[in-house]
Amino acid sequence: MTYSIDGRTVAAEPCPGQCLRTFLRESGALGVKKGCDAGDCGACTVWLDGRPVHSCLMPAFRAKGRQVTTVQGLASGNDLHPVQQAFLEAQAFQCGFCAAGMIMTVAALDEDQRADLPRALKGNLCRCTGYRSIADAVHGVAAIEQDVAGAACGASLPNPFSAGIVTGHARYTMDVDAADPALRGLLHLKVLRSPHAHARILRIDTAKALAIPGVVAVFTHEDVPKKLFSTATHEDHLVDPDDTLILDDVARFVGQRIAAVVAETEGAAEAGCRALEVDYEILPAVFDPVDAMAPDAPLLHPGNDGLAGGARGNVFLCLKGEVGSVAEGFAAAAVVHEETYSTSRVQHAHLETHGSIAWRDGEGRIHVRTSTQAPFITHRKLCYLFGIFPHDLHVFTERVGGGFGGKQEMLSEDLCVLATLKLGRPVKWEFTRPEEFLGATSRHQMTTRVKMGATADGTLTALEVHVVSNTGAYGGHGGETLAAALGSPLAAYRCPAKKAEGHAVYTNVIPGGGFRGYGASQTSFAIESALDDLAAKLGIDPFAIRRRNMIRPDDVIQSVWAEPSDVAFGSYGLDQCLDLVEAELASGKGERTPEGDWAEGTGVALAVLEAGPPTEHRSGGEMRLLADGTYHLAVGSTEMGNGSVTAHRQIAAAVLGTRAEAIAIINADTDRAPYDTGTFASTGTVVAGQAVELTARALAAEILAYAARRTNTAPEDWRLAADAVESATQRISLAELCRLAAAEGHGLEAKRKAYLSPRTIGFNVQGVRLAVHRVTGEIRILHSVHAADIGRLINPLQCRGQIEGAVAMGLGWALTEHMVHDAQGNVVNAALRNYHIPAFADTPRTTVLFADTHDTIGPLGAKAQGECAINAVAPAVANALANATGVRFAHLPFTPDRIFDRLGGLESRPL
Amino acid sequence: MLTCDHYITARTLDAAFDAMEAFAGRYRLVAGATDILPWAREGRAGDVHIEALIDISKIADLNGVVIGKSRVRLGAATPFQAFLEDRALSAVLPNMRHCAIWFACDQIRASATIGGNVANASPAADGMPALLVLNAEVELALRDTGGVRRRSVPLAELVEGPSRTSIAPGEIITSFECDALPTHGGAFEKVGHRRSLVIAVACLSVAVSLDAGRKAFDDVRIAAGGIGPKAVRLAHTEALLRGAPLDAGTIAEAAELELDLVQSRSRRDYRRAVLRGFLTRALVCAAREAGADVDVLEQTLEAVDA
Ligand SMILES: Cc1cc2nc3c(=O)[nH]c(=O)nc-3n(C[C@H](O)[C@H](O)[C@H](O)COP(=O)(O)OP(=O)(O)OC[C@H]3O[C@@H](n4cnc5c(N)ncnc54)[C@H](O)[C@@H]3O)c2cc1C
Ligand code: FES
Ligand code: FES
Repeated sequence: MTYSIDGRTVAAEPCPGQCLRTFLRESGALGVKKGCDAGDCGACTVWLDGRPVHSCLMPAFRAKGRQVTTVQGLASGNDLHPVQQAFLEAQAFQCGFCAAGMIMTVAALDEDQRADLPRALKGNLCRCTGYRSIADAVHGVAAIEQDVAGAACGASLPNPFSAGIVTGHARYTMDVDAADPALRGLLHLKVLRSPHAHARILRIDTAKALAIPGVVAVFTHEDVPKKLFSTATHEDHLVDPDDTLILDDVARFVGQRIAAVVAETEGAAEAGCRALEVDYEILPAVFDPVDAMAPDAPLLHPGNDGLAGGARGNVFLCLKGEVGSVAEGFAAAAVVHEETYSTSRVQHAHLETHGSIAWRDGEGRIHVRTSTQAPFITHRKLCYLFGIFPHDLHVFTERVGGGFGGKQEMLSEDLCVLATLKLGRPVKWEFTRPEEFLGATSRHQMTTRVKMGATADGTLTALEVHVVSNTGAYGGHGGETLAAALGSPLAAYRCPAKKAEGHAVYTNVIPGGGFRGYGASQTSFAIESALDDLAAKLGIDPFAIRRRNMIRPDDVIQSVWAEPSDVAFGSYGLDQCLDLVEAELASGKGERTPEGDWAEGTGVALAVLEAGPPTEHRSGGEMRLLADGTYHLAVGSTEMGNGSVTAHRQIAAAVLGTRAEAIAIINADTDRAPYDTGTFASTGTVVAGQAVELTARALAAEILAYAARRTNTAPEDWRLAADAVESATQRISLAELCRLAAAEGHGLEAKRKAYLSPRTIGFNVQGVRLAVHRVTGEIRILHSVHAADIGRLINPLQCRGQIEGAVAMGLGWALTEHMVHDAQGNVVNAALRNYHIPAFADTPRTTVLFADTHDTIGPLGAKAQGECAINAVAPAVANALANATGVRFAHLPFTPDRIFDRLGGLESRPL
Repeated sequence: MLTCDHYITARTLDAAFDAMEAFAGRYRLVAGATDILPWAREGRAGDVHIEALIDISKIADLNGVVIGKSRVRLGAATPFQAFLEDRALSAVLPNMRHCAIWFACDQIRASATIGGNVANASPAADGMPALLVLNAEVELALRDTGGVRRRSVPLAELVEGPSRTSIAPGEIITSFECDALPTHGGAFEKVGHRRSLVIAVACLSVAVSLDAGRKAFDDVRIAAGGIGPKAVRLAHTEALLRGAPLDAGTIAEAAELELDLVQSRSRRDYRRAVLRGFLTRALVCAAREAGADVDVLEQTLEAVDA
């Protein structure tokens, strides 16, 4: 008997113990994805005799003599399966990594199951969409619009790679063809991770590992360049401390890489890791940042002299500022509120794990295919670490399966390049899901003391914030997130006196990193909660107290530093956002409170986003008119589900008066696209998009100028149409114009750079109505409303999707997600089974509303939107919970048992 | 990662025993593999090498369902999805259908077997309380020099504690003999931190039948899992309810009776509160499914929960 995969007969035999997922991928079905290898995410769903199964839990032998259907075999010929078509028309994906499995599950549902999606989709997780577009796809809602020449901006156009995503042919980082000649002799890398929170390595015996058949090499701290760096990727490398070595002789958290084993197979590499013998000298460890600040605390980085503010010991950064006098402000207050709030450590859980593949070509150049948000900075760091001449290194992405900040980090590329340089062979390293929890980064856990004073009418007189940020074992992003924590959440309110102080502290836990919302999320949670507590003391409505104190267009945008800043109002829609949310909450829409012992409450919170980081951020675009009259566009920024390639095509098409389809785009490739700092800090539209706009404008001018030159007329006589240049009397098709130019050896092309300053600001308001069970502590979100001021919507469908995804992620942070460490610093829940990201059943449908504004700074009136929506979610839930119960829950997450504890198992009481 | 040198798909019990003999002490049985594969990957057991995996899910003896007058025989390899898809089966085992609804997801249920659920002996296994309610007897088979020997034990005795059973080395669970409960109504309750896909923090299975007038409980069976080292029947509560009138007062009293069974130290008070709520809700739901007068229950429901 043989194996039948998508109608093909496969003669290969699986290895004993191999699961169906890896067998299918080895047999060419690269559409089958891995999100967890544990049955939790459904990315690997295929059909076995027409029935969906998780292929990662299916021994491959079980498929013998049966029909396996993957997403690649669903379409018949060129016709998409109706479910694939529906996913395309509803754009039921962002990064698309879940789509292959999701489509297979949905395509097998019967009518009854379609009517009960929370149950029917239990086995498939999506981290990007918030599930609304998936539900739409199941119900046949077509959301995409026509691509009309000249009208691309503002249209809900599909992602240009949609067909590949729904058919499973889109290639993600790890989807490489085994027969690719560049990858001949591909080796696999695995790392041994530290079992100790703090330990010095005394000895590593590699002999047994090297003796394992298939093991090619072992690398330890003795084999790496002795150059300190930071895994965080920023334009300005000075904002992160250089405190990391590729492999170190001191382990500072459980999960830190100790040694790398490179082998012919993954299995041999893993066996090699198991066979390594390491002697450790256990060092005292410290996990709590307050303990870590004590004078006698064990030191993580003894040489640390910090970045600023006299930081030392385990404090690697201390930031302070005051405008006005809070002492006077509190003295003038009628009411003062003071409370400590804290947030939890959470993980990005993008469905595609980290990983990269490095190889050397015939000319000796090194190529790195990787899942990153910042290929150019990664390029720069790799050149620095290994002394590679920039021209000799090429870093690029294929489709990236989600990032959310987790891939603004160089976590796998360095070891792959090290191994390739040493061995001359291609090397691949793919993180497992547990490794994401042990060895990637997390959101900084912050504890925030807020003190607020106000007059009797609710006017703020003083606002003071103290933040302790646990940056973990390494300081990447520690400083920037701390600065962000002391920034926009305070700038959101006008107040004559503001003061803040923050410490970023090293401890022996997994390092913090960049995560959607970036430090501001944590302080937003604290301040927005505190503002409601203050309002309650004053008997003022939560909307009213926000309206009274919120920043307005003629205000100086200022947190606690009086120095000039480059943040400016490109547009202002915060007032509209509050009105929209208040009206929608009051409309009574959404679900009704269940009968029984439930208490209902509503809550609101706002957030302000400064688009782009305060440090530099640059991007460039290149465009060319092609022989067939269409355009080529190259941009450096990464597409990871944020929709930037879709938006960039639309911006270019709008400027050039053509259809988005006439723009072929490539991105995130250091060989083929111009420099871009990276897709983070909400810069995909406002910086990279601006580069695209400038480039397209320059190309349009170049085309018109050339047409004028050829015809001895003036450029003003000409205008650019969808596929031709036209004057009052003449028309030359673009294809013809390109031919004419080429004949003269002239290319019609343009190149421009964008640099974001001033930085515009966006606004978000979240409203929540929820029910909480008085006994079990279960929370049900009955109505979720989000209003955003993100300027002009370049692609309304995509904008809505970004917000739905951010709200879902915010609800996960508020309700279920929490990385738990035990007393030895081990992560207890390093799996999606017990680290709960929201499933379909957990995610309410959010009503997404937009303020009507047009930004004067961002491209075509648009501003940033990928991140900020999350910042208002957890505090809105907290405020609704306080409204429902009369109890303030000041610490995330709000799990049922914690609610139970605080409500004290209160027996039924009347609503 | 799980690695093995041999993957043997046994089609008969004898073939399985042959393989078990050949690899004595160096094999592991697999049925649905939904516990073994994740366990053997990183995070729990770390990397695992097992010389031979013996797949028993295709053995005829372990498959198939026989519905008799008073007893039902379930092959040990019966997947949980069967309780949702096989109408004849769910008609006689009403509580199993409710259990399956809450169990994992469609994909996992298609593979996950009742034998694996029991043999794995997780304190939070959903199948355990449900099968206890059905007075399941476990049939096991073993082959030694004297040939194949079978024995039968009550499920309650087979599972001893977390990951501990009295399954002897070389033994295979072949089937479960359960009570057929065609006139009972069933219910299942479960809580975790997320509404879907949770391994239970606490779970409860109930089956009840009513007297002729449908105003009082007749037979009542209740079992709870996740509240102690192993799932247990709530015998005192059952006794209190048998023959008792179907009203809010009785149910409330019953829900209080055995809360002390909650042993697990972590979050004890919380689990007690949860169990109280579950019992009330489950009794009402099961009674309704057994044909209780909706009006009578209405007040009870209002007093507690939807
Ligand atoms: C994503 C996910 C969600 C899950 N959700 C739930 C849930 O909601 N509720 C729940 O209870 N469980 C859940 N589980 C756990 C698991 O699915 C169940 O315990 C399942 O019933 C195990 O059965 P199996 O056939 O897959 O066991 P296997 O993994 O094949 O085997 C488990 C153990 O039992 C032994 N074994 C199996 N069959 C026999 C037999 N006939 N005789 C002797 N020994 C045997 C095996 O040797 C092994 O040690 C979940 C698992 C996953 C991956
Ligand atoms: S990869 Fe199989 S379920 Fe996640
Ligand atoms: S689109 Fe679903 S995980 Fe990214």
